[in-house]
Amino acid sequence: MSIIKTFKNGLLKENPIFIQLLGMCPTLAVTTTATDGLAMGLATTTVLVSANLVVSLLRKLIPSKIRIPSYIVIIATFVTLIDMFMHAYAIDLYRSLGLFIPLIVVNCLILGRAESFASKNTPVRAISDGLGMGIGFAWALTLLGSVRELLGAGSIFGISVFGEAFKPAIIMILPPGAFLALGILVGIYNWLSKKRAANA
Amino acid sequence: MREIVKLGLILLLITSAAAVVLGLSNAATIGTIEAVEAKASEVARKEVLPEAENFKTLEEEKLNEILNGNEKVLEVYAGYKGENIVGYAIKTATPGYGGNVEVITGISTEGKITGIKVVKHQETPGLGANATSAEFQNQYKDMNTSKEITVVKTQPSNENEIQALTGATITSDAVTNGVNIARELFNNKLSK
Amino acid sequence: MEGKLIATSSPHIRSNETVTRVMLDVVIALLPATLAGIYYFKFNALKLIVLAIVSAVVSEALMQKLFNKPITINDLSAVVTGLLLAFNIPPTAPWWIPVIGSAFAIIIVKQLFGGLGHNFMNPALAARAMLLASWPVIMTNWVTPGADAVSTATPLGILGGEAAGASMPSLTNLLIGNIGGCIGETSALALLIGAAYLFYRGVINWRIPIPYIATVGIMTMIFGGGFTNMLYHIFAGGLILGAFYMATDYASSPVTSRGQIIFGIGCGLITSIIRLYGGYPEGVSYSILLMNLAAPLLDKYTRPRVFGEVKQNA
Repeated sequence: MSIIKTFKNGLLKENPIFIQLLGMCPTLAVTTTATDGLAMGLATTTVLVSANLVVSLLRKLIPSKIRIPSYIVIIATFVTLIDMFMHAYAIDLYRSLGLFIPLIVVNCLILGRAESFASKNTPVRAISDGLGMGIGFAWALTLLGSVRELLGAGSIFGISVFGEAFKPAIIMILPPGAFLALGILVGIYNWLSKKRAANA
Repeated sequence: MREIVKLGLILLLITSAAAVVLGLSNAATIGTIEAVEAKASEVARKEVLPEAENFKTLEEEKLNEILNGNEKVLEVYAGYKGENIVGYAIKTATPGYGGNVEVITGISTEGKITGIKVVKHQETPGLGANATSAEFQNQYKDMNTSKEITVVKTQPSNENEIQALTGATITSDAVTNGVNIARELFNNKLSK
Repeated sequence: MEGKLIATSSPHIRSNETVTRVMLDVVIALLPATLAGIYYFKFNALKLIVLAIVSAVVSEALMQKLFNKPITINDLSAVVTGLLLAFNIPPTAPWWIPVIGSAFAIIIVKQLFGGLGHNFMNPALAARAMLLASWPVIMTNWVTPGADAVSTATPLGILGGEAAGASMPSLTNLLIGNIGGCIGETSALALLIGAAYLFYRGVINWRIPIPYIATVGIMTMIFGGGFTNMLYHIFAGGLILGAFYMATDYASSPVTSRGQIIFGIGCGLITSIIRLYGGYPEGVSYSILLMNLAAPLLDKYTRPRVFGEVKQNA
């Protein structure tokens, strides 16, 4: 697979959220607004790309018997870095994402890419895979956050859309709304990709 | 045996590298983090007690006496204008619907509430979370500390009554309890 | 296998029972309560009931067309869902509440899970839970019956200490429905008349409603402050509506006799616990939804023994 193809793979065809259904905990928990979804997506992308790069660089050094603890240490290091820098330079975002930044460590998407891709490929391709998967994760999270914010708060990226008369459905920004929105979006996504496959 | 040592060494190498990186960046960010946190708290205190120019925490002995006496009180700051104390900013934590609701209450030395601010909560979005709105918080402004504040569901008809947030009585009670704790603290300990 | 008739060995029982007939019976049974609701809450109740039914039927037809399935709106099941949903909303609700509620019940809870008989929880109740979580203020805005509707609390709200100083309505008013509450839940008498009809027609049996109401009765008498309060707990609020019309939904309740009795008791326990100790004054809808989820499990563990079967590991 070429580098470009590797990159595009994560965007649509193997989208981490809509197709692979990986990393569901942050997906469901932090997508109450479009901003939070985007921020979480970008933070995850940063960790994913960095972890992929380092794992790929060290792939010959790390014996397979201790690969999992090694990957976790590498991932946890990057997550802690993000956590510290966000706390220092983006305190509002840090407050609203709260607990979920440290939880990026256990996002199975990142360990999954390290294990199944980065540990077997060159650094350049590992970066391109991390970018593809990360951006795929980020846009899906942003979409989910937008849908929930739009229906649940009547705004998008904090900007009011419908005006005063609109009575937002609060359930959409509560946990059940996350499941409802995700389920329906996954359904639509698969329906669209099936239709595209049939047309092609 | 040799293999275990080898695996251990590699893991040690990776973890030490991680430790070095984290140690360095911790040193690089800790100052900024503390400054940012301190500034955020200072801004919140200034909002509830606008008259004060700067804030100092109470003397240790008095503070410890207050904090030990009531675990719902988190912080007590005295607000200064020049050399004189103009009021106090008291942070309380009271149980709401989804956990503790942290409120900073500003009280002037004359015994008037100068403002309150809900700084931390996990209340339901759209209902209890509305406690952070200016509309709700401004109800407490200029109330007298001598009388207990109560929550009512309809338009308040008496002094020292707060109209509850629609659909979120528990949150309204939590905020009001916090303000009442601050009020009593001021009456019993600080104003003397 | 889909769509094929599965023939098992004889004996076969023939029955004239059809979906349409059962649903028609339910609609007939709900008529007294519908009329009572319209009588007490006037035009707004009528408007909301009509909107809920129309929206349910239209959603059903739309989804079946979209999925290329035969359109079965004539079986009246969507009408029943719409009517039951309307019973569960306050008479002050704006027009779009029943429209969104019915659409949610039919599209998401019923059709997306496979249509009639495949829904894992009661569509009308799931929609009510969704509406209550989404618009809690609108969904708990109670008024007294009559033309000059004044804001009030439900009897259970008063019992739960929600409105200090408000006096309890008399038990007679409670029975005939002259109290604040949802459109269809206020008149216990009208609901009981309908329930009697359903018993007579054999559409429902005693195994779910009676243990349900009995459990609530016992629990509220012991823990809720005596006999009078127990009567209020039984006749106020949605217990009668829930026990006879919602908990008995075929698709989302157990099929075995023992399973149904356990289902009823479970609903009763959860309802009482929510009413007595929970944050909400009313717990019928959540208790039935929770027990809906337990229905497959109850069926699994209460499956009757097949006689003549040889023990496998003997």
